[in-house]
Amino acid sequence: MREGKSTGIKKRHIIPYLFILPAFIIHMCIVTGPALSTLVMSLFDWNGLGNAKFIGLNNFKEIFQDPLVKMSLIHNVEWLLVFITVPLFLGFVIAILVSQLKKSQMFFRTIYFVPYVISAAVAGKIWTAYMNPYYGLNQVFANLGWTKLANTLWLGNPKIALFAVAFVDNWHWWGFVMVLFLGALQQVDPALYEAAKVDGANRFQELLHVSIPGIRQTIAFVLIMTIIWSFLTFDYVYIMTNGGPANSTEIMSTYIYKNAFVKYRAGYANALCVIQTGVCILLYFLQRYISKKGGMEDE
Amino acid sequence: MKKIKSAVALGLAGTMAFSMLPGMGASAEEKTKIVISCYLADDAQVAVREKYIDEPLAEAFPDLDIEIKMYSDRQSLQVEVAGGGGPDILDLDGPTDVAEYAKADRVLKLDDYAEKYGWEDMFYDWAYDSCIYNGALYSLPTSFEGMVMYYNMDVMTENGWEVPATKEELVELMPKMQEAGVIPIAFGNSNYQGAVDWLYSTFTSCYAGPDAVKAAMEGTGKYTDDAIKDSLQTMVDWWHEGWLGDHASQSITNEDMVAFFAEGRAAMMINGTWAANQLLATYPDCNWDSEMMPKDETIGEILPFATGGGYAINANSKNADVAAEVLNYLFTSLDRHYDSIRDAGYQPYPLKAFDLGELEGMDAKLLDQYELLMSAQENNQIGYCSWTFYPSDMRVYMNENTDALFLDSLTLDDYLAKAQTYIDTAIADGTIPVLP
Repeated sequence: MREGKSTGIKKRHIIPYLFILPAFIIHMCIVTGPALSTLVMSLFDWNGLGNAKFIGLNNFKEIFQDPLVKMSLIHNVEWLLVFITVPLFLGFVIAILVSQLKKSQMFFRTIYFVPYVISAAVAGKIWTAYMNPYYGLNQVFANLGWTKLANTLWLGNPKIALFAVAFVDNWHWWGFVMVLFLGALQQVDPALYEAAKVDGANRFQELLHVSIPGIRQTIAFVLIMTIIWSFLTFDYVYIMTNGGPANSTEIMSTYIYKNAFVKYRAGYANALCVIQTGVCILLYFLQRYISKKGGMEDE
Repeated sequence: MKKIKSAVALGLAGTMAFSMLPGMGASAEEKTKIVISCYLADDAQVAVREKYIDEPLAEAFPDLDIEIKMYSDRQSLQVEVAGGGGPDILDLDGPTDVAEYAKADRVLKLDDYAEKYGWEDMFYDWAYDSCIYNGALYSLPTSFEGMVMYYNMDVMTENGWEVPATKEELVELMPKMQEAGVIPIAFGNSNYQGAVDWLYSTFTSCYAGPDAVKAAMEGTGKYTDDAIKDSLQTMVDWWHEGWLGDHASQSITNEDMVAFFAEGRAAMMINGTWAANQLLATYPDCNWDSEMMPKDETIGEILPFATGGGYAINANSKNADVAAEVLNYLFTSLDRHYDSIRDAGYQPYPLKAFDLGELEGMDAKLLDQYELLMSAQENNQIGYCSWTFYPSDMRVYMNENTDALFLDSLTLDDYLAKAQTYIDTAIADGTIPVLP
């Protein structure tokens, strides 16, 4: 009798694991396995086609001497600085404004969200045409008499090309951030605003003491996503400048891609992937630590 | 009833199991399958390909099931081959691309087939030799192209400008074009950085001379030698003057470049012979002409040559002998080939038996261009395009960094010194391409 009971308990314990087993197996096959193989292949000299030759840590040694890696990482940090400020600020402010609307809220929410659903390939090509110095926005600026803007090579000047591409990615991205903030703002208990009003708080104080604390977990989520995505970004740069001119928009992802498929240096590309992942993990924990210290996430 | 159901189920299961046994489910008459890779193409291009390649192949090899498989990008093909699969015949980007597959033993040495089918005597030496890597033949050249200067003749005539015969005449003409508000030479590479290889291949071949490039590749000279340095300095100077790309080449695409030329915003364009088809199809009203680059008096007229692609046999192929036979058919069915050039603008194979007389009736401008290519070949006016004659890593480096020369973020000396290191490595490991 006792034996039967213990078998039943064991079964009850095993059954939940059986339910998650298929997902776990799939995850192992398509995420964990390839990730581990990336780690292993980073130790090999491999052109992506044939047999690989074990070279220990040589790829990593080369990475630390490769000026393009340093340049790409700097570009990623610049990209991160843009994305951690502009779309977050814009998304938050517009979300606050849109949340005040009653009837037309859906209209504005949709309008601002539309760029997010346009594919990067299409948006990138459209904006590349807009930024063409001969028939794009520069012609409009020339007609308005804004000579300096009219003569600007948005994608051709190495000093501004990265920011021109970041502008386009921002154009696509901020609406999504706005919708996230808007959704979070709508979850804040209205009683808290009423209580703040009763206590004599003005609009700004409401924002500071009710709205922001109320959506702090969403802010933390957007921050962490922004940090990770800034280091993984690829599409707009690849489509609009292909890393040029003169490597001025080269970022880690495009550099990894070029090494793997243009230079036939898949082993080196794998080592770069390991470094990129390491940077993302480091930033993730740094952000978590800062968020917790700043009270944006629960301990 | 229950018994009948069981019997039917058992029968079906048995049939299924039997058909899964190797070879058992297959029909005894199943054809040998040969798969040939090809580039992504639109419906119109596929229709042309079906007419001039798929259908003749099916007719010539009724016992084979030949499939032409399109790859949306080169990476898919690369990954498939690396994984031990892939098509039997690989249509690759040219000798430098083939070399990477050869290095990894992913393509077969074709020397035995070359002997069997007499391929060495079929192709022009320069093209055949360009397919040799590390002493062995790994591919066969699928196209035959060169870099030329295109002229928009309407713009030239309207402004009373003559087509320049020499570099000096060209240098004299370009400021006049600028004064007239015309971009002298259209160039744009914002969507494909590597298009700069058209420029440096042309400038080094035409203004340093093929001998200087050949000496550098053979180790008897250096890529840092004055002749090559001066030719590339000329390219950089022309870019700085705004003669080449109007200071904005990094902001406009290849398509813009052709449009600027065709619409008369630019008077000239340095481009490959492949651009002729694009001009004819997209800008039929454009009155253009193409010539070799205006000559340097001490070097003479040079036409940088290239084989644009190469057919190789996948080392994973289970039917390599049949694949070689199919390849041999493609290069020996000349009537089919002439039809495809004449009617569909296909690029010619670099075959010695190629007879221009067979192309009568085709577009006169294209025919002129083929005559130009043939005459340059016969008169040994051959220059070297990087995608056929440079080590692949050297080409990648130069493609990525030529814009840095234009934008003054890299010195020419550093650029050349780095390029030379790739040549030194290739010479040391015996993988330097063979230059004619």
